Amino acid sequence: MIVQHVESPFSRFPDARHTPLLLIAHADGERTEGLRRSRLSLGLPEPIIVPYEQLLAGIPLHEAAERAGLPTGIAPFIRLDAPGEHFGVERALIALGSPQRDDGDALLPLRERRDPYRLSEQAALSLGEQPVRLMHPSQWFRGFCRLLDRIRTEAAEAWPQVRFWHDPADIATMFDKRACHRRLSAAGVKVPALLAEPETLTGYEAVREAMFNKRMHRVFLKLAFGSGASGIIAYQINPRTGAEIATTTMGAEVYVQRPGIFYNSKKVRSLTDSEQIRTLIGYLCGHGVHAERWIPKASLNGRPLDLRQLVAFGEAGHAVVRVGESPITNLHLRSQRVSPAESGLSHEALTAAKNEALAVMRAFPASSSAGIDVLTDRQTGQPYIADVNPFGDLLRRVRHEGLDPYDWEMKRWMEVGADTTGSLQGGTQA
Amino acid sequence: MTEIKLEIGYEEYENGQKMETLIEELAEKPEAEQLSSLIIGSWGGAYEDSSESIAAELVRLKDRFPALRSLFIGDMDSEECEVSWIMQSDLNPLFAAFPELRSLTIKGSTDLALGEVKHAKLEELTIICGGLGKSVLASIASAELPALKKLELYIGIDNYGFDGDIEDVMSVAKPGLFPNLVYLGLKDSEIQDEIAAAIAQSDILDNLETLDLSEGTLSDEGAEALLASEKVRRLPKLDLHYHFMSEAMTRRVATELPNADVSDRQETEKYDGEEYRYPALTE
Repeated sequence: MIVQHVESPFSRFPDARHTPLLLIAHADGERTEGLRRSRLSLGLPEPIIVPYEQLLAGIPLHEAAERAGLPTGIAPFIRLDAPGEHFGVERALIALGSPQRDDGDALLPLRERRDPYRLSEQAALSLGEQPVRLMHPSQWFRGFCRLLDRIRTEAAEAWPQVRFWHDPADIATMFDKRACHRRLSAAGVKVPALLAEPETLTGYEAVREAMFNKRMHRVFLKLAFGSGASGIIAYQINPRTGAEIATTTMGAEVYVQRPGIFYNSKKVRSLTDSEQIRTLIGYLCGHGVHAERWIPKASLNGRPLDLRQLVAFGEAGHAVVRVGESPITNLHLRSQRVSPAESGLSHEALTAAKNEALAVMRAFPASSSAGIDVLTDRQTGQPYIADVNPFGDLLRRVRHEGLDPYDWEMKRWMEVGADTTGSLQGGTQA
Repeated sequence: MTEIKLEIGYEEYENGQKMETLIEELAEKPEAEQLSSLIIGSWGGAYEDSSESIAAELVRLKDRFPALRSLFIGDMDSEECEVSWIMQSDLNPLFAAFPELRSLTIKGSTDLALGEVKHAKLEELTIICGGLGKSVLASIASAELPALKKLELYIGIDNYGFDGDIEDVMSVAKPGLFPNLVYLGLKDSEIQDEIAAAIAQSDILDNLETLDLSEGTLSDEGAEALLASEKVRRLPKLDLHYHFMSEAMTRRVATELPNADVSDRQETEKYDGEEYRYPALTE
């Protein structure tokens, strides 16, 4: 039988066996190592690794790629991985987001907003590492989007046929919870109702006014570009007594003369002091806040839970249920993991969650995978999408079809990106 | 046994659904006659609407639930409403309306009143809350509950409604007050050490099968008082889980009181030279 090299609508993924995987990531680290190991075990060539640091040092993408071993003239499949947990990279991204580097911000969602207290490039580069401190999230994200734009542009110039694991523009949208919520709403994916358009949430008063007006007395306030439990406040007001409770890992040191220091502690606290709450909400609103209804989550033994569902190349894979000790279920330190079967969620609820996660990826057709956080309404069993993490495939100690997440993703890629086109249609097999 | 839980989700509440309607609908169904356990979960906006009309509806329809033996008012958790924000009401009419009731559980203490409690058959009374008011403690202290076997009270903290002192707490644990009592829980208290010290030598322990001092701020001080008591040593079961005893004391209690549950040890928080301990339900 003759294998036809025709682009079917399904073969938007390059041939997995013959296309080099260019990984933009940290040079060493669990994710990079996981992918490398997975490719070796499947008999695929090692990924070609371009560290974020090199790009941020100004080295053009194709040069860094060739230096790392990419043969000249071959278009790679480019995968970006999480840029976090690396202070040098974080600092360089904040510097890239500085006013001196203003470039129009083509990929930055909600780019009309101004960042508070913008740091100059020099000031950013002289930041010292303070592990739990929130550095400058909005300027960091601005810098990250600039880097995404640069990668997209340089890749297209170097390799006209290049394809991305995630479209860089999608990464920007997924990372910005406001933009992501808009994209998903528009696509008809079930998301918690918005408290108010993010542009209107200018501070504590505006948030509370929206809550009273909408009678939405319980909300989640999320730093627009936070990851994990970082910058999240479960906030509720009591319309009868005027009392308020902010449940959060965030804390602040406030100064009169200069901006306060904000950090994420390891512990979830419930704050009831209005001034403290005002400070934290003000910080989120300053950098950019996404505010949505607090869905009463399903629980196990009185502990609220959510589900992280991995989707890759159009199929749902690994699923992990996280059972929290607080409303903030994605807090790593205090959450307990159980399998979907142990979660007490009904088969229907689990299937609905999986289907909603698949619907999320259909709203991002130019991206191959994401770890999707799904909440289940305890009353209706209805799934709601809480977060879409393009780099959410680092799931430890969990298998699907006997494979760890990286092995499974590689296998999926080999299936959909095989050079027997049309295999997805179940038709012309070689 | 048949059990039904009624609850109203957020959407239903926003759409004007009422718990009273659900109760009325249930009363119309044939299974109401067999129903032995009814759980009233979240009624939606429990921080602004109290249980008053729910209790009234139950009383009005009491004859439709002849088999009812167990009633829970306010089964919801912090995903729906903070326990200290749940609006209860005067639940006294329930005692007369359901003379066959064996078990009553109430969650939330804001505006909770029990009035003059008189019930010949009630065997279990549980109040789960962030802080129990002394007026409720007084109602229990003067209650006529000759059949009561289990009394479980979350004492809580002053911020959430506990406005009494150790005398108020101990007034519900007078020997002879409930002659059939075998389970006594005075728990989740910020004065857990005082409670331990006050109860350790009480004659009420002679008839108990379980003493439950769990989920409060019990520290080495309270543990010493318990260890010093022969009555405590004779208890078939002592529940101390979630406590602030030191590691050494935890080991000692585990060794000397093999019937004690000393799981879920908490670390005392120290801040600016002050020590902070919080009961489980108020953290």
